[in-house]
Amino acid sequence: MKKLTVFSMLFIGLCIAGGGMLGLYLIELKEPGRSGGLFLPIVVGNLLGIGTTFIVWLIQKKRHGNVPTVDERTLQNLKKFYAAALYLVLFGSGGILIILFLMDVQTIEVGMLFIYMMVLFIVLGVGTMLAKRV
Amino acid sequence: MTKVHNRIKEVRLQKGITQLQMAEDLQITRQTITAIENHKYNPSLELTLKLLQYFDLSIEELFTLEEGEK
Repeated sequence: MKKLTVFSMLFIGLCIAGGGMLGLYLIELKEPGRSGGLFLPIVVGNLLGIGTTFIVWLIQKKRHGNVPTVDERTLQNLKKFYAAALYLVLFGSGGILIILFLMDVQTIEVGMLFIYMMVLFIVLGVGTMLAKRV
Repeated sequence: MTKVHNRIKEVRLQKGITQLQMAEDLQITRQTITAIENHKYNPSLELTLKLLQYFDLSIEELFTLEEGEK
């Protein structure tokens, strides 16, 4: 396995674990004692995710040999996708705010913003995968 | 409007090279080869030079500029 792939997987794993721990800390800060039992799912989920990615990588390598999965055209496609996604997110968020304003909504709950961010990350993640495969 | 036309598919088949073999040799994806062969994607200068070296041809033999409708 290439060094960069290993480093990337470890970095992503650490970021996910770090985010999870930050979440646990915030829960403990707000409501002490409510974070119990969440530590294990964060660690196990993270390890399962990395393990699955590793297995998929091994299967792909066995099937396609030494053919790369990313090249100059893939990178160009990704650039185009992120450029389009940037406008979509900017104008989309602005549009949502205008609609909420017109609906006479005065405040937005922080929890809702977290959910919005989560949806954005999922949509961008799926979009990246699709843009990579085209 | 001008269009870049290439003879990559023709030359590849003449030499009996598969897309998979070419992808492995040039370290590009099979989808990129398909896109180039179908004139959906113009390779970068770097990849063009690699292709010329790979097929041992001059640029005029592999690529031509076609004048399209204005």
